[in-house]
Amino acid sequence: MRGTGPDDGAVLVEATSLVKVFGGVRALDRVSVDIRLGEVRGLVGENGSGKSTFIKVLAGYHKPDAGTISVDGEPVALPIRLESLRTTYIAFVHQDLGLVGDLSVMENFFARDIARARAGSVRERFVPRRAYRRHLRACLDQYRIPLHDLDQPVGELTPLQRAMVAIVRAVDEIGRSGAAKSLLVLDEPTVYLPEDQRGMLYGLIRDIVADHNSVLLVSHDIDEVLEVADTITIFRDGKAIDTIASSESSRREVVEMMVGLAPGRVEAMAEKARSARAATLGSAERVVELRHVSSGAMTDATLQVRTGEIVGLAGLVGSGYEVVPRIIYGLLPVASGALEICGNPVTSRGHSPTGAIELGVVLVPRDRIREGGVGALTVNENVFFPIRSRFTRRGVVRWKDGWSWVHDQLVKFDVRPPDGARELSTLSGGNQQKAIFSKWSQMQPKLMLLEEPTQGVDVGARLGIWGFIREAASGGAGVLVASSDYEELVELCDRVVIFVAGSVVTELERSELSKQNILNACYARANATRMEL
Amino acid sequence: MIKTDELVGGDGGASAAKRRRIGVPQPGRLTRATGLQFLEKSALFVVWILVILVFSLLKPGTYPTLSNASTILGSQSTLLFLALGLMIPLTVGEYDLSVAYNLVFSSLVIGVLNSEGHVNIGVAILVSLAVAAAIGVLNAVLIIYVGIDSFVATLGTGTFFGGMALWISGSNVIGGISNSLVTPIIIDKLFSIPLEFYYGLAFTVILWVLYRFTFLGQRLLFVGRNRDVAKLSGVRVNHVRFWALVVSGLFAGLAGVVSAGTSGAADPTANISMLLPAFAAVFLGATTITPGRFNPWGTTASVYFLVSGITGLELVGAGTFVQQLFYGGALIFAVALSILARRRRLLSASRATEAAAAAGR
Repeated sequence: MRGTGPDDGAVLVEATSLVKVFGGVRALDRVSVDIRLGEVRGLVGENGSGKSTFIKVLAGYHKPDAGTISVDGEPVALPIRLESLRTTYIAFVHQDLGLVGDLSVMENFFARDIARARAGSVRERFVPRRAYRRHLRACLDQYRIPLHDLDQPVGELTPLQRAMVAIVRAVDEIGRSGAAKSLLVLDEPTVYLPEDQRGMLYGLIRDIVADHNSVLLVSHDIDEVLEVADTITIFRDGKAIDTIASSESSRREVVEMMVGLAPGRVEAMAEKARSARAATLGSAERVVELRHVSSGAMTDATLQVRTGEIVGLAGLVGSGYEVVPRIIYGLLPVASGALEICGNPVTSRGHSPTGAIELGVVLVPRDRIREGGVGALTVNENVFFPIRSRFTRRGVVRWKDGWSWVHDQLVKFDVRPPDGARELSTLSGGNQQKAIFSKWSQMQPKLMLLEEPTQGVDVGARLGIWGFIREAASGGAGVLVASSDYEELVELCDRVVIFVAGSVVTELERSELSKQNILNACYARANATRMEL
Repeated sequence: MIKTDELVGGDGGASAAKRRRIGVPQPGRLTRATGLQFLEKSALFVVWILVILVFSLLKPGTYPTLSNASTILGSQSTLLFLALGLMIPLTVGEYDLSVAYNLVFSSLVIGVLNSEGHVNIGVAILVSLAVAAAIGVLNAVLIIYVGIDSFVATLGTGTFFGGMALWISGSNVIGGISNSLVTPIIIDKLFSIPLEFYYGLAFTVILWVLYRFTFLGQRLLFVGRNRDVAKLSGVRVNHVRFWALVVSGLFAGLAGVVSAGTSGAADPTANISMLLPAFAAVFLGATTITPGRFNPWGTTASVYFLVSGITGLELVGAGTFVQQLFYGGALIFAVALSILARRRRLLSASRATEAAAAAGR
């Protein structure tokens, strides 16, 4: 399939010169894209580049202001009414997958049938469970998905299983539509999947694509698109900049097209920061040290971070790497072993987040909205919260000074818009993360604990956040980054500590850092992706 | 629940070799898990039997008797109708705190029309059911179209109609309701149990069929668990919420009819205390049969389980305060139990994932 170039196959969906304006901003600026039969087309671009608007036009959610769309050679009326397409079926799997965690695999799989069943006779009011069960079993078998308890709540499945259920559900929808041709649109299906589990999903996507099926894969992960897609369309500033064959392109080219930087700039920035910091590392002192620490599934962790150093934590899910920040922060108890923060021995009994903050430790948690900040409160309130005592005199808060301090922080950390009065949840993912980053960075921490700092964040914000992390390290903070994004670890870290089955097995030094090496080390003993299912 | 042999594959599933290769849990573990699930589903019934055994031993002369069984089974239909009705809005994710007041108000409508106004009992019943459903419509409008949180909206309407009930009755019990209502409710018996018990049973069966087998029942679930997904799948979410609240009102009205028939009178205050027992029964019901989901048989079983315990305690000499202790305790216990069970299920699911990974190393 990888051999399929952009010139093979008839055009299935052809969008020509689409224009869509929102409040004076051109979300789509003469966008022309044609998707061919039997190809996996990748769609990449930063947030705000127009790719979501494009998808929404395809879904019939937006009516473009100008331009035309043809499906299977026939011009269609806009906005597209998906159910009126005669020969082609277009199905969507959105980022949240559209599954209900408390309901069973079977109930979720047939959600549309359940929702739309309109009864004629009494018999038609009843759910045909046996038929459903048989059909679902056949679908899962066809794509070799090892799910056996169809009555299991979807919430108990692994993220990978959930993604597969959602995708197979869409494929089945296509199959049952009876349409001769189809397009499956996958909108960021792997955002919540750890990198080592994505392979199986890619296999599924390749299985789906056939002569009469095409897939449009929207993703912020460029490596993923390069691996899975045959061709890649790059969006920037509302324009479809180019469509390239993935076999002939590199990551760097794609990033540079997305961000619009001159070739080589991205790498140059990273290298400059690193070498500036390397000079100071020699005389550094330890900000945190773990000696043979165990806690829950983590059996033996020994590691240290020095001032000015960025240390990565990696491993498979459940290998223990992901709990290290939480142990240091006092959220999880130290069962045995020794933990020292800035030279202070920490006992399990006395350790808590409050104590950690007093020692100069901050944690930027993985789950932005649930743990990082309060979505329903304003940016001002969120950022101000940890430093409120600085602006309090005799019990009275000096709000005006506080807000202007926060405003400076928002500008410094490039939060767009730098409007503290907005609710945090109204910001884009990347800007939320920058706001939360500013919330903790303003504390001048000695140790920053970061969990998946750029998960689900667009490329521009990602580069920005990496910049802030480097800046914090240059300013003398030690940084510990737990990430399942190996590319991020390679870009950022001075060294990476690898966990396998609850203990540290390897440390990769700067010179040894590459995605492949990290992956190999993670699989040192657990040697198969499939086992993770 | 599906059978063990289906779980481990058989002809429909992957071959044993394939299963081993991809690290699917082996049959032994699954059987144990299924056993545990069975225990969870039947725990309420086990405890119920224990309660009956204990009180039968303590009070052999009065507890395990036909007349006591008849009293227990025949006395709870008002609460049962209330609880079954309440279950429906709870399933779609809405509270209805007005049900007990609605019950009181609609029984007073019967009392006022029939015993004071000498209106035909059939007409009085129809009017009272219409009033009860109208209160449901009012709730639905406030919640769905005005956008008031259901907890607040129904607390308000309930209190309002509680006040109306006191007003139209002059705070007095209205007696003398026609015997043509009382007779088929509590006087006529089948196997020594008043007919009202069988009415409750009939509605349990109807709701069970609805919940277990129909598209409509599934839609209620989707709306309750994730409104966005339901909407995107094509469910008319507000439509479903609207009717759930109206039907809940209607059931409260039916409870009012049963209550008027049981006592031959309409009391403007007494039945308001049924609100908490109804919640306790619905939540306790969700811990059994299909744990984690509100279900009709669970609700019905809980109503009778709770009264079995209360009757026993009263027979051994506890005061009427024991009702409050029992219902309040049961509500907290039931909700705590389902939270713990859910936590355990999620934990064991993640353990199984880890174990599958470990097995492949």
